[in-house]
Amino acid sequence: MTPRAWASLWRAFAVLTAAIMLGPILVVVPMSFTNSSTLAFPPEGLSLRWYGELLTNPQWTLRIPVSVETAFATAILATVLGTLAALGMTRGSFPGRGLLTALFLAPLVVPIIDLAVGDYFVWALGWQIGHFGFGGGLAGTVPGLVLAHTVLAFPFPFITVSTALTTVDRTLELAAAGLGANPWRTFQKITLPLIRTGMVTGALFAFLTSWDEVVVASFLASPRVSTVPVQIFTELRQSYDPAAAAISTVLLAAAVVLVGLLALIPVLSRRAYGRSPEGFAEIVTRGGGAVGAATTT
Amino acid sequence: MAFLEIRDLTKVYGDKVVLDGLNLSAQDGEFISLLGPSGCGKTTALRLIAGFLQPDGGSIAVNGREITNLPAHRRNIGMVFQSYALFPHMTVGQNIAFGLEQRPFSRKEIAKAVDESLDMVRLNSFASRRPAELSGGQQQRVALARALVFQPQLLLLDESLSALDKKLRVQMQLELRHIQKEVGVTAVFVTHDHEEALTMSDRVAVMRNGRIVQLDTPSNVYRAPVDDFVAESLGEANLLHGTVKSKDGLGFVLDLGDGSSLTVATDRPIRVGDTCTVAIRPEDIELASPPAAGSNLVGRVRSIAFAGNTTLYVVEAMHREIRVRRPNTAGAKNGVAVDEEVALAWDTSAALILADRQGAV
Repeated sequence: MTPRAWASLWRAFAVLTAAIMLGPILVVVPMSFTNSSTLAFPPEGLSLRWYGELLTNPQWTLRIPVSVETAFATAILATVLGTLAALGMTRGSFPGRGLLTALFLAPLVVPIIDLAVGDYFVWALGWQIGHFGFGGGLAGTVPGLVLAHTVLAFPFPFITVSTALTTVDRTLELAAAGLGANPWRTFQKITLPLIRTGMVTGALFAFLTSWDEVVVASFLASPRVSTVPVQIFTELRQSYDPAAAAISTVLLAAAVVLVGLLALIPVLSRRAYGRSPEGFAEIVTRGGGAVGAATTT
Repeated sequence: MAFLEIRDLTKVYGDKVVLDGLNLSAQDGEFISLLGPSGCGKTTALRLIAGFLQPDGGSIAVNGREITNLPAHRRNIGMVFQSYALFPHMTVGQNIAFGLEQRPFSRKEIAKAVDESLDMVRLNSFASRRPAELSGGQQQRVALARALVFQPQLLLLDESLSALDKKLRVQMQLELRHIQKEVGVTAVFVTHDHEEALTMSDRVAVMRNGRIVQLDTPSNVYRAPVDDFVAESLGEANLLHGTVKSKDGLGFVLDLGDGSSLTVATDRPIRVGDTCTVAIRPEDIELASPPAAGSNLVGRVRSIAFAGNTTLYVVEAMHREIRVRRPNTAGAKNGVAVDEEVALAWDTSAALILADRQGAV
C-alpha cells in the first residue's frame, strides 16, 4: 500500500473511533426532540415539548437551581482552596510536603463509592471526636452537596494552579519587591495575574466535576433537594421520560461551551500578553490527564 | 563614611562559604563593577545588597543608614536583572510606573515621571507595548528606566548586558554609563566580562572565592594586578614563574627553572631567593623578524591567528609558549611566517611582578 493509502486508512480508523465514542452521547440529542411520550430511537415527530417540560415540571425546575448553585459554589470553593494549597506546596519548604501533596491528590484515586458512603454517614449523622464535632444534618442540603463536591473537585485547581506557579518566574516577584511592593501587593499585582489562567482552568474542571456528578450526590440527595444528574438517573429507572434526554442535551451543551472556553484561553491571553502563557499546554495536558485519571477510577 | 558601606558581609550555604567577609565602599555617584568567575559570590553579594537574601554576618549601610535587616521592598534600591524580569502582563508604561505606584505619588506625577523616563531611554512611542513585543535592547532599556524612575539610592545591575549580542552590548555599555552619570546614582554592576568591567567602571572589584582580591581603577587593575589571578581575570597574560637569582644594574635576574632567565625591573620589595610570577601582556611584546644581532630573546613562531584588528602569534621561546598580540594597522607589514625565527622585546615597565598567591612576595 502507498503511504497515501495508509494515511487514509488511519484517518478512517480515527473517524470510526470518534464515532464509537461520541455516538452514544450524541444519540441523546435527536431523541430529546421527540414528540412521543417515551424515549425511542429514531425519534417520532419533532417538537420542543420536552424542553418545555423542563421549564414547567417542578421535578426539573427544582433540580436545575440546585445543580447550578452547587456547581458554582464548588468551583469557587475548590479554586480558592486549591490555589492556597498550591501556593503552600510550591512556595513553602517544610517536612512532609510530599505526603501532603499526595493527600491533596487522593480524591482522584480514592474509589468514589467510598467517599460517597463516608460522606453520607458524616453528613447525615455527624462525626464526634471528644468536644469536636462535624457534620450532621448536612445530607439533603446544598451546603452538604457543595462540601462533598469540593472534596472531589479540589485536585483539579490544585494541579492547574501548581503547574501555573512553577512556570511563574520567581525573579518577577523579586523585581516587584525591589520596586517597593510588599508581599501582599506582589502577590496581588504579579503572581495572581500570572496564575489566573491556571485558576480559570481549574475552576472550569471543578465546575464540571460537580455538574455531572451522580454517585456522591445520589447518596446525599433528599426528595426535596437533589441534583439534575440524580434526577435523570431516577427518571430513567422509572420510565423512559424524554425530558431526561432533553436535560441531558442541556448538560452536554453546557459542557461543550465550558470546554470551548478552555480552548479560548490561549487565544485570549495571547491578546493580553502578546504571547500565550508559558506552560499553558502543560496545564491543559496535566489537567486533562488528571480528568482522564478521575474518569477511569 | 562612604555612600555605600559594606562590612564583613558573609553568606554561607550549608558548608559552602559563598561570601567570606566582603568589604566594599563606594562614593556617591560612583560606578563599581564586581568582576569574577561564576561561583565567586558576586551575584550573592548583589542579592544581599538588594535584600533578596539575608546575610549570615556583616552589615550593609547606604547613605549612613544601616539596611542589613530591612526587607527588600523598603530599601529603595533599583535593580536590573539579567533576564530583565519585566512583568509580561503589563505594558511598558505600567512596568515603569510600578515602582512609583508603591510610593505616595499622585496619578499625575506618575504619568509625568513615566514620560520623562521613557524620554531618557528613547522609547517614547513604546509606552503601550507589551515587553514581549520589544527587542532585547529595548527590554533592557525598559528595565533600566523601571529601576531608575523612583530615584533609588542605589542601582544594582546583575549581568544586565550579557543577553545582548556583542554590537548592541557595546552600545548599551556606553548608553548605560551615560544615563548613570546623568542621573548621578551610585551603581554596583556584576559581570564576568572583563572588557565590560574595564569600559564602564570607575573602579573594578575583582572577586575570587567570596572575597575581593583587588579593588582599583580599571587602568590600575589592568596595569598593576596584585596577583596572577587578577592579571588573568582582566585579559590575556603570559605568566612566568621563577626564582630571583641575582640583582644587576638592569634589575633582578629571574631563574625560570628550565635554564632560561629573564631580567625584570621593579620597585616591589623583592629579594634574592624569593619566588615570584611575572606577567607580560601579549600586546606589550614586540616582534622583530629576522632577529637583529645581539637580541636577548629569540624564539620560533609556532602559530599565527588573524583576529581582525589584531593578530595573535604563539612563539616558542624560553622553552615555553609566549603569546604575542600585534595590531593590524592598514599597510602594516606582517611578514612573519610560521616556523620563522623572531626576536621578542618589551619595555621594562611591561613586565609586571606579581605577588605569589601562595604568599611568597
